[in-house]
Amino acid sequence: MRLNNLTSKPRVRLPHIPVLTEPDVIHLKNGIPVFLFPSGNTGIVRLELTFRAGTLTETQPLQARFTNIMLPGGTSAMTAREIDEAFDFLGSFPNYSVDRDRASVQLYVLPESFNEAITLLRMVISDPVFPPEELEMHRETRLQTYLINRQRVSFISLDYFFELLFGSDHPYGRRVIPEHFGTIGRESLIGFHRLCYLKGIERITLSGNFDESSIKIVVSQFEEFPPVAAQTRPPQPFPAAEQKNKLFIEKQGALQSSVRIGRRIVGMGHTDFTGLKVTDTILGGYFGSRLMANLREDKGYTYGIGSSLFNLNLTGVQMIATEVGAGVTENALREIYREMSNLGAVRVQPSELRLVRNSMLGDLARQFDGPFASTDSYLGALEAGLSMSYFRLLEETIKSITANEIKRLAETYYNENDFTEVVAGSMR
Amino acid sequence: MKIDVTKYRLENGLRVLVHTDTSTPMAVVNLLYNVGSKDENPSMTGFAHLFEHLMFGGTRAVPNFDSALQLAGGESNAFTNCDFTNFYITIPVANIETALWLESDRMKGPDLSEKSLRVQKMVVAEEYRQRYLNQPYGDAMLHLRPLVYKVHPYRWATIGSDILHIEKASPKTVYEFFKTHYRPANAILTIAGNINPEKAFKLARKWFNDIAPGKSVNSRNLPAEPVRQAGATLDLFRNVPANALYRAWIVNPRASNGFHTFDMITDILAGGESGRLYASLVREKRLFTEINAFVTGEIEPGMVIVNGRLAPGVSKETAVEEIDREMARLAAGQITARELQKVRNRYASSFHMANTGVLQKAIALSHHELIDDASSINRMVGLYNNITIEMISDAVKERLNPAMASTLWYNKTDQNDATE
Repeated sequence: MRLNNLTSKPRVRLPHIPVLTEPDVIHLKNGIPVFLFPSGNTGIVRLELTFRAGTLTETQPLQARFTNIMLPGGTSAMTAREIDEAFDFLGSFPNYSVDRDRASVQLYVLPESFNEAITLLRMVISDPVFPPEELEMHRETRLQTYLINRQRVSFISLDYFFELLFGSDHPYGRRVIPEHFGTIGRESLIGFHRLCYLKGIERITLSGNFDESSIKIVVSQFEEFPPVAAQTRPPQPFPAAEQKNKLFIEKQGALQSSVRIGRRIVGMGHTDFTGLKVTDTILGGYFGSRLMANLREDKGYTYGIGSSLFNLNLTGVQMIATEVGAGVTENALREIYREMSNLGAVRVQPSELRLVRNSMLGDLARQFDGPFASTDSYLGALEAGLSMSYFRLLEETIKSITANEIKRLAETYYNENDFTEVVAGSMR
Repeated sequence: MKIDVTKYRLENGLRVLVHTDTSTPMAVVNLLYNVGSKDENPSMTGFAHLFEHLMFGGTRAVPNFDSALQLAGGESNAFTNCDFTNFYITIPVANIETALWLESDRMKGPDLSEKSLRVQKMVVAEEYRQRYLNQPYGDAMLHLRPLVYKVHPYRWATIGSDILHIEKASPKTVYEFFKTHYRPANAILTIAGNINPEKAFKLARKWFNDIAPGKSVNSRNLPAEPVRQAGATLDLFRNVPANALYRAWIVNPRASNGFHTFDMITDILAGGESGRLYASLVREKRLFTEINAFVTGEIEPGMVIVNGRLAPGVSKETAVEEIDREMARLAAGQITARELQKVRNRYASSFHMANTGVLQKAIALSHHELIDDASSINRMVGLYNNITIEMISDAVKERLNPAMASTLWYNKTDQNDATE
């Protein structure tokens, strides 16, 4: 059996993709769906609630974020400190987050503490009292964190990238400034909570090591919430594409420049989306991608570069991101555009296409490896109004897309003139 | 939850660990080499980490490691710390032999081309800038380590004490480093996933057994850091938005029972939102805007570090006094039974969370095997449950007293948007 030379290279089999069937779902009497991803192979259970409470629905900067931060800031029965202590004593890990389209409250807990922890979590969601001194503390600490972030070139470039993409008046593009921390007030949070949390539960997921009794607990804790309120106002439309689509923000003495290059693009439900996923992966979506091979492995300009294609409620976004040595910034920009236009000019070779197919199939298997990864992947599709059929289509596209189709997609979508470019750092 | 592990050893000295997990379609091949930045020459720091990069540069038989792996749906990465260098692959279990083939192939020797060396030096220099130099407070550990350690090689960070050191790496020194450290007897191979131990071991033997054991090297002879009764202080002046401090003490080595007591102490101080430092110094007294405490956890005596950012207008003296006051409360045994139970509960559930994925389990098993024994992972929760208030109080008195602390300060200079 000692054939350790090149000829003994093991035969490669296509990754086995788990059967992508829809998860079980139950509906509470208020209409809120609870999706179930059971697994007895972990000692942990995770509950997650998503709310229509992202920055898209806010009427004032920081309103969505501070409402989310302040949920565990105190209820009519408990102080913030008591809430923190109770979650910690139960060995449970709550997590609160906000993005552009929604907010999320997540809890990891051992099965034996599930009942107590969920009861506590429900109180935090339904009965926050937003104590002024707690708000004052968070305004101070979060402002300081913001001021530190503002010194990072990667933070600056991302901030301005979204502003250029969506305009400074749209919630997707509005940048936070220090003054906002001083103006966000308690009444504003109370109003946002009432509308976007109490009437904002879009869905619940339960994953990991739970049983029938855990489901009963979830039902009893959340079935009394009112159904999601009809959207009070239509989402604000974007401005037409910005005139100025290149921006350089100088940061004196920066050792690296942070680069964000991207565009608004078709969303997850569009017929071109899965094909664009493959095209994007070839460009910058895996370790062997063209951008990595060129800018890192050939030229040593950067520690890493990647491209990603993601979905917001109102549009898809394509974004290339990297930090490069200040002195090679212009070279790096040129090479990025070169790689984009190459994809539209020359058909991908069969060997590279086979590599990217297999790599993406492996990645798809990883996305459904275990209850928590499966939940996250599925939520991504749900939030775009899709379901498991998206992943089946993606699998099919990965297996069957042609080099001609990839060339067509790159020709259609990868024109330098359609891209917005932000560089923060130094050109010297 | 018990994490089963079966251990073998090949004739060339390679240790093999197998963990079976039938719930996942993915397998993990983890290869830990017992070499870290502590094994470097003080004038050529950052070398172990540079070498980690070079291991991805291909071999004569397989010029492109990543392509060969990605073709089989695999994904790979690696990390280096003071103690060891760890390479990991996740791959659909049907293709596990591809991972073993690739790891055994590069254990026989990467193709250390001029270009690979030149480019990876540049990539590592960019990593150095991105993660340490071009970030506010990013260079804290680069300054704290030499403040705390004077003779032990933990005095430099894994990325290196000077960005220019790795420039000196020549193909010859690189090759010598490989020959010395990348030998089967200096490595731990862990296979995890839906595969039974007999089959996994057979595959390990098939791919690794004919690798020559190589010249055995003398065991490490690292200089011990003498216990000092007086810590040092260093002031940095930077354009940062807030003053910040890093207060550090040297504590017990990882394999000793004492280590876990210090881990628990940092959990009492800063585990979760209800940790004492946050509850008292951020929320109640508003002296800090952020504060944390942690053990670095190296194999040889590592550190307990308390780091925090000061609220505007708070004096440095006050900040230090308040931290020391919290330490004094622990030294006096002022801990309630409920508080002790809280950190035990947190440890138990975080243990479950950390060991949910097969990759995390494989890395943890390899790490435990390096420390003492892979199966010791299953004793951890019990070990933490047996830590008493008295043990905590003794540990603080012995090791975490104020005089022995070393302190690094970031003093904020003028506010404008330029960095130095």
